[in-house]
Parts: sequence; structure tokens; C-alpha cells
Amino acid sequence: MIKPHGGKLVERIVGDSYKSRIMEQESEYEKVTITADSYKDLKNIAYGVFSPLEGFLNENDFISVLENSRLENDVPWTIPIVFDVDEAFTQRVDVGTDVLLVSKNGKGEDVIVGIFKIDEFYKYDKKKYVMSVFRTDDIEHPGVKKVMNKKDYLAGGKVMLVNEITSELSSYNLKPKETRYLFHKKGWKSVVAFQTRNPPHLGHEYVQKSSLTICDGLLINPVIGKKKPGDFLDKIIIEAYEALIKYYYPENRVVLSTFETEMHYAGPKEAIHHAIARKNLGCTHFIVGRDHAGVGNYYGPFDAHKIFNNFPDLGIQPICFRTFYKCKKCNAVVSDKICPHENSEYQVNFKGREVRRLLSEGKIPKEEMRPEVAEAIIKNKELFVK
Amino acid sequence: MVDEKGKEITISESLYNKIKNRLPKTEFSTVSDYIEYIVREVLNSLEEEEEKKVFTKDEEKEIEQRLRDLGYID
Repeated sequence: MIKPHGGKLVERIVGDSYKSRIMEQESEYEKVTITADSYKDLKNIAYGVFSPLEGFLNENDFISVLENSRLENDVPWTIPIVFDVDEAFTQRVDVGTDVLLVSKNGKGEDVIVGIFKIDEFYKYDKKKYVMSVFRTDDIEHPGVKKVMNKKDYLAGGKVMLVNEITSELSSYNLKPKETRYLFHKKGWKSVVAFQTRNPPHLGHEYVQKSSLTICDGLLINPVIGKKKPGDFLDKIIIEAYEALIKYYYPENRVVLSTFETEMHYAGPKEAIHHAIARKNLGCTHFIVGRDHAGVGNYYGPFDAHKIFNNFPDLGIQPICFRTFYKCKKCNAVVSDKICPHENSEYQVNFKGREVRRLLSEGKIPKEEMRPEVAEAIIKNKELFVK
Repeated sequence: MVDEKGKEITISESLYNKIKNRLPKTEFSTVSDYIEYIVREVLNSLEEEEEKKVFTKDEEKEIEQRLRDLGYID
């Protein structure tokens, strides 16, 4: 099985006795309420999705990530996983202190989710941060905006998960140990991961099946969590994929599991980050499409392909797709690699907006989507985030 | 060879020249970059060949039960 990134799968979950002690003495700890995105980071660190990270980046690693796209120990890493605090916090809390991290559950109640041993506080250069990660300081870029709105200090140190917040889709969120065991159990030596934020149309199916032709298994790994208004609801994406797998994939070749993470829209650098997470899940290959994790026109359509050349030691193989479309001459869904009719009258692109419109009217987009998939979507009353 | 923040190492002049002559056929602009790429690739493949960790019996039992509970294993 593929080795975890950095060589060791991180697992940082407090044991039962430590947890009881924390809960009994919680009033003695400093507490910080964290955002939903920081909670996802905590969980991904704790379960090893972000191996080899054991906590939020310290200053040396942070600078190394910005300057070299590697941790201080030379392991590739492109997206800083950081914890921001204000100056008052740095004055109130001593370095070396254990701080409890608190998050809201689905009912709006406070839950102690983690314990954070703060090793250091450091000031950081936000402009340097965004220019390195996003290649722009344009405040209109959603990732840049988020960084610019962060507090002025970062806190570095190790974390442990105390309690996990569950949701109606938690049962789809497999941890690296579980996916690794599952792949092992299925006898898969090579596994390709597909990331998505939408229900599947025929183009997605083509990309997945092309990749599955050369791999033993396919991990369909939709990003779920915080969404923009107008995005498909997480539940819809899951149900659509369940229908596709049931009717159109061979038995025992596909696993559907969610990836709960913050989207940074950092284009090429985020493609590397996403590949690392999938390597930790036990995947050997990762599908990278056009403008992966991009937004607006900040990145070239194939920048996320090219960046993999800078990381010969990444340990997971990208499978890059440039363009896929329906070809009226070939009478099939194709890519530019196998069809000579790109940019001709025969090329018909997938129309995401049209698909959304038809689905929202309760109609099946026959040209773009499998009927069983569309039916699984339109049987729901609500399709989109409000 | 040396770069802005790197460490200096020594290689034979003949090897240096061989690599330098090859540079125009690569995407690299300096001998240092090219060597760094090759060394990383070699080290990574060596690490991949090392013995892979397997699950302990207890871990297997625990994970298998959870996967069964979640419907991933029959």
C-alpha cells in the first residue's frame, strides 16, 4: 500500500481517560471558539488526512511552505494550515499552554472539539502569504480575502481531537485508516481519486471510467461542507453518485466517501494539497482536470497540471485531463487526447448551467446526465444551498 | 553547487559537465535544479520500496466493524 505523506499516518485522538480528565477540568482551561473551517483542519490533522502535520504550522514550517512549497523537513506542502489569533490573545495566553478548541454542533451548542498546545505565536506577512499561495493579492479573490481578514498573529503547535461533531452525512466520511483498510481488503493495489463538488454528468463519468481502466479501484471523494448559495446541497451530490454507482459501475470497483475540507481556490497549489490528502487516504493516482480548484481567471487552465512537475517526490501520480466533450462525429464522450474533432462543429461542450436549470425545473437533462442520476436528484424538493 | 539558501556539495567535474551538457534537453535552467530533481526522485522511489506497514489484528477488527456498521463491507 502507498506510504502516507511524510512516511507515517498521523493519528491524534485523545484517549478515553485523557478525555474524561479534560471534560472534568474544562473550566480551568482557556477556551477558544473556532470556525467551521478550523474545525475541519483540526479533524483532518487528527485523522491523518493532512499527514505529516500534527498541528497548526509553526513559523519555520510556515515560512518554508511559502518560500519552497515544502515543510522545513523538505516534505512537499503547499497550503499553510494555520490558526490565527489577535494580539490580545497572545498577551493573555502563555506559550506552552493547552487551549481547548470549541465549535458549534448542528444544534448550535458548544462542543469541546480539540486541545491545542501552543508552542509559539508569530506575526506574519499577509501579502507574502497570498502572493505565494494564490499568486495574487487581489482582494476579490475569495482565498485572498479570507487571508486578509485573518487576525494578525498565528499560533503554532500540536493539536488533538477531543470530540467529533457528527452530521447526517458523517457515515460517508471515511478516515485514512478506514479507506486504507478498505482498499487493502478489496485487493486494490492502485486507486484513483476523483474530487468533485457537483453531481455527475456524462463527462465526469467518462473521466472516472477512463482512469478506472488503468487502476484497480476508484475513490469518488466529493468535497462537502460550507458552500456558496446556489451550489448543490451535499445530500444531492451523494444521492446522485449513489445512483451512478448502482446503475453504471461494476460492483466492487468504486468507493464513495466525502472529503470535509475548506476550499481555498488556490488553483495549482491546492491541486498539490488535494493530491496529498488523497495519498494519505491510500490513493496512488489523482485526477486533475481543467483549472482544478481555480476561481475566476487567476490561473491558467492547465497550471494545476504543470505544477506536478515540480514535485517528483510527491508520491502520488496525477492523471491530467485537458478537455472532455461530446463528439457528434465519434458519437461518444471523448477527450482531446483521443478525438481529432476538438474545436470543430462536432464538439459539444457540457453545459453546467443548462443542467442546473433543467434539474431545478424537475426535468431530466437527457443529453448530459444518466436518467437514474437525474431522477435521484429531482425527487428532492430542495436541490441548492440557499 | 550552491543556491541562495542551499548547502554546497561537491561532485566530480566530469559529471558536472555531463549534466550541464544535458541541460538544453531538459526543462531545467541550472545544474543545481536538475540534480535536486533527480535526487528527490531517487530518494522517493527508495522510500516507496521500503517495507509497508500492515494493520495489527486489533486495528483490523476495529476498522472492519466500523466499515461494516457504515455499510462499506457486507
